Amino acid sequence: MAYVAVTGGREAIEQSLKLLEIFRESGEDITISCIMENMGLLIDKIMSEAGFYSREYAALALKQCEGSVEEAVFLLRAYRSTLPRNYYSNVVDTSGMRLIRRISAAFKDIPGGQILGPTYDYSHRLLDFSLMEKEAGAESREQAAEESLREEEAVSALEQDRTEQERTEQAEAEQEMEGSGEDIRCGRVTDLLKAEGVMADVEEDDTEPFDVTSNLLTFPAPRSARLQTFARSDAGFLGGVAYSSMRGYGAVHPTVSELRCGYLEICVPYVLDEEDEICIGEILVTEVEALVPSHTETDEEFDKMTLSGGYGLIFGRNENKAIAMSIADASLETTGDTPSQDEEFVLTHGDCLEMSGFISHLKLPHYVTFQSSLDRVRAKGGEK
Amino acid sequence: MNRREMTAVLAGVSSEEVKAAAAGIRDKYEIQILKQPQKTLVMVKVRESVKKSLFYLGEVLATECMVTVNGAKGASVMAGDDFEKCINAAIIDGFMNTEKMPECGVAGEEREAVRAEIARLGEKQKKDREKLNRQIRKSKVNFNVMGE
Repeated sequence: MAYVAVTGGREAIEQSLKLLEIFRESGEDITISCIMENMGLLIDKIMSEAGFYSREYAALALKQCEGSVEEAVFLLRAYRSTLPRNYYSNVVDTSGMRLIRRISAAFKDIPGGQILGPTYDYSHRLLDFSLMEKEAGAESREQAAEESLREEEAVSALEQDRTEQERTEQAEAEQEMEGSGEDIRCGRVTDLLKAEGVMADVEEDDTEPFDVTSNLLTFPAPRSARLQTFARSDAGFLGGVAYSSMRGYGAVHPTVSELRCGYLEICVPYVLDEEDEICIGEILVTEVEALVPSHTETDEEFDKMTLSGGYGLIFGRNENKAIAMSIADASLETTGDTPSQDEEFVLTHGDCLEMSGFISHLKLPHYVTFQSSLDRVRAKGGEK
Repeated sequence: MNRREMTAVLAGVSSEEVKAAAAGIRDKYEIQILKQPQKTLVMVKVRESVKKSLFYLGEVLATECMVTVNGAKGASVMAGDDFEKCINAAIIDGFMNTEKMPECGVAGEEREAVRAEIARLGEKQKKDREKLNRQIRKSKVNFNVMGE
């Protein structure tokens, strides 16, 4: 049956949009910078699902739609479609990431060490009611600032009484206590496995990537299309796919070889000399390499067991999604009948905008199609 | 300090600092805007580490523009939507490009002074990060396996 349009309702729709404004109004307005500073992980989630990196615009989208993730993603995708794409970055090598966190679940000791960084992994999941007391929070911040100032004054007074040598010794001791202030960069954990020959090292593959934002996805999809689709996927959907695989509806339950979170420099060719490059800035990302031993059931298969990997890379601090991506990636390398192994299923049902749009369309008038169904049901009833 | 390093510093500092670094050039030399600042997307191409293949991670909002400084072209692409910062970065770029164009009449010492200012901003940026880096390093963990 063809679609049948409806008309009318203009005044009601206009009033509905006004009501949105009324519902969004609040006694205490929240600024974009406030959202950026206080809702960092939410902004990361939205940027990742929109496939569009702009902290400020993600915060604006959130403000505009009362904090709805799918609406914010919709707004960013819509806005992004109005902009020209005049640049493709030079190939980013994530091994040069400026780290804020880096852990391994596979090895206790890794070169460069494990750095927990900012994580909720070891936090007590207890509501902190002190955060409800705004004034108390402000007071404690002021108190902390005053204490810091007093400390600085005390240090400065002491400094004046010290000799140059004493000052140098003190600075060195402090540095030793606190560690170096240099940027943190480390090699990959899997490099060790590759060096040991436990994991196959592969040649660089320079095949130009498929772009799912400009081309219709066909199956089997190239690896680049899979990874781009996963990077933009809804975190909940990807988490569900990964969870199902780990629980037995699939063949992948990996070990996280390395999870790293940090900043990547993005460079583009210099427009006045393509041989040269310029840096446009840094983006925050989370990267995961997961290790998956091959499935074995017989002794013969066990003897030939190999180690392969799954890969995840996501805008922002987005750890579960990055791990889920690595599982989904590894899962599509296995064969079987489970949802996580079905490429078309996984790649076509995880886009936040597409899924919410398709579900949302059910709210719009379907009077004619439903009448048709109703007529058939009534006719069947009449036959009985 | 090459072009990539200089632009990395400029991208990481505030709009005011880039403006201050370009102020002397603006005052003394003729600036023309060849391409007004405009927003653009930069698609990020990444090499994943498992199969070492390439894929597109997503797009970054950026601003681009092009200027001339006493006839020497300068260009800038910067993440974000700060038009003024982008113009000032392009002015600095054009100023540095006068090195290969003696007809622009810019003395080498002036370029060195701007380069030194950017190096100073880079040092400051590094310094600003040191405190946080120390805090991050302090979270280095050493798990012990029981029974070992």
